[in-house]
Amino acid sequence: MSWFTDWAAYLPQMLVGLRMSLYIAFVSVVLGYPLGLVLGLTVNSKNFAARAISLAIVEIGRGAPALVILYIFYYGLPKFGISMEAVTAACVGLVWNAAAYASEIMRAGFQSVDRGQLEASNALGLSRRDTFVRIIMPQGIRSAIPGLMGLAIQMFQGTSLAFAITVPELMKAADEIGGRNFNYLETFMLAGLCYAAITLPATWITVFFEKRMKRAYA
Amino acid sequence: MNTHRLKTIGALSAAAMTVAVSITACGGPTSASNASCTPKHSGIQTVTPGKLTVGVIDIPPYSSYNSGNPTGVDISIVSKIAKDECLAVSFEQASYADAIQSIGGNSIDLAVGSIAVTATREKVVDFSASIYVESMGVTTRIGATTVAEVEKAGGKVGTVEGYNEIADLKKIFGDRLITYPSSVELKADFDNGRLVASFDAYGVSATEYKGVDGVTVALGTAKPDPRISALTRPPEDGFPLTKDNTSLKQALDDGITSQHQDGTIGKLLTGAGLTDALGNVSKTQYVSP
Repeated sequence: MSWFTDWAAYLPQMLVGLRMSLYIAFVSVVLGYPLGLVLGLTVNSKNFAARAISLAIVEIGRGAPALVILYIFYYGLPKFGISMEAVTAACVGLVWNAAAYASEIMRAGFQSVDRGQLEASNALGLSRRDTFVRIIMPQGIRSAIPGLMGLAIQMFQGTSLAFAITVPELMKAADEIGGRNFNYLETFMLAGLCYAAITLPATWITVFFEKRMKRAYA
Repeated sequence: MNTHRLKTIGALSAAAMTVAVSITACGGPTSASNASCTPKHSGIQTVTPGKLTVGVIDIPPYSSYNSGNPTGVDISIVSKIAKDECLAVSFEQASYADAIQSIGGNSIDLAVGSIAVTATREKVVDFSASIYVESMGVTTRIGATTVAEVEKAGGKVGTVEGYNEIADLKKIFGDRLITYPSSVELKADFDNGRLVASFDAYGVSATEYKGVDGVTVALGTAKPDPRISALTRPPEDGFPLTKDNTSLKQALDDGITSQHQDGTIGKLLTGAGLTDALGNVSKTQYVSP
């Protein structure tokens, strides 16, 4: 049998896994980015407790490998009586990871806004909240968008780690098929193509947006 | 002065790194062969002449890399064969996936770690003669000894990816069945209380839960469930090796047969806390579908 014939046989199981990978990536981004925005703001808070907690969340989320976080959530927390389903644990772990990175991207975006605009807002008597919501955030988020889109692609790729905590996603589907027939090369090649089918168009969209935004700023 | 010192530290670090990388690149522990030794078979082809390179999958008590000091039933069998063939042995840590790729890519000669001989796998690699029968263990905290009893008890059950019985277990348990990358994760989740039962290789579970109160490990083949073909006709395990390496296959086959006949394999199994009945393989190798 040729690779293509084998791939046709593997594809249905792979697509079920791909759907799960997309679901986890979607949850990570949809919940992780707003949480990242909150963390990006509280990291600079004047309140020491809020600042310290946010900083700890961000630094652990960025510093610890996502796989370690997933293992802790799924295999570690039950020791303390907290037991989650594998998919829930994967979502929680990757939301944390996404939030930590997104917070830094957004913070960098906010800081890229010209300081003169802040001074102008002060001169106009705008409140701190109005200055942030009307002046800083729209421009900061705009410059953070390419980074956030890139992060979304990384999060999708990162869903492959959920395989280690028994989530039936794409990588696990490939591993199951490979374990049955020992054709690991052709199985993982197909898994790679499935990932690429999502990440390549997503990368092109990111590049397109970057170009559009450069033109808008020009 | 400081710059000079930093340069010195940098140079020493680079040298240390180079040495470390070189040592790592040389692979795992190697036992030397004897130059005056007469091999039982001549002209055995190996990846590195005079050396048998073995991928070790962690699945105690069958094989464990054990931080560079491999132990286990399979390790003892392979080491004896290598000694009889006057070959040095080099052990390298491996997983199921990379061991098979490494055999195909001629990086290692064979892999050890309770690997069932199946018709599908034989399309990719050759297998040595059968070493022992692979029997599934039924591990529970509720005293269940059969799959049917576990089925009635309800709750989630787990097994390890790549095992032959997965398809049949899936039919019985459906979404209640969770598959794990290895026995380590399966045990972690069983210990966490997520699983009512764990279906792992009997040898693995018997070792893991030896002397643990409240946990029962039953031999799946003792009261075989007719719905699981791997229990009614359990698979036999062999060493996967490079396809068409007939000289190595012959040496392995003869070595294993001889160790069956002189009782070595039986003793190794009982020494590992298992029953020597697992060593009763069929005369003509049984290849699972």
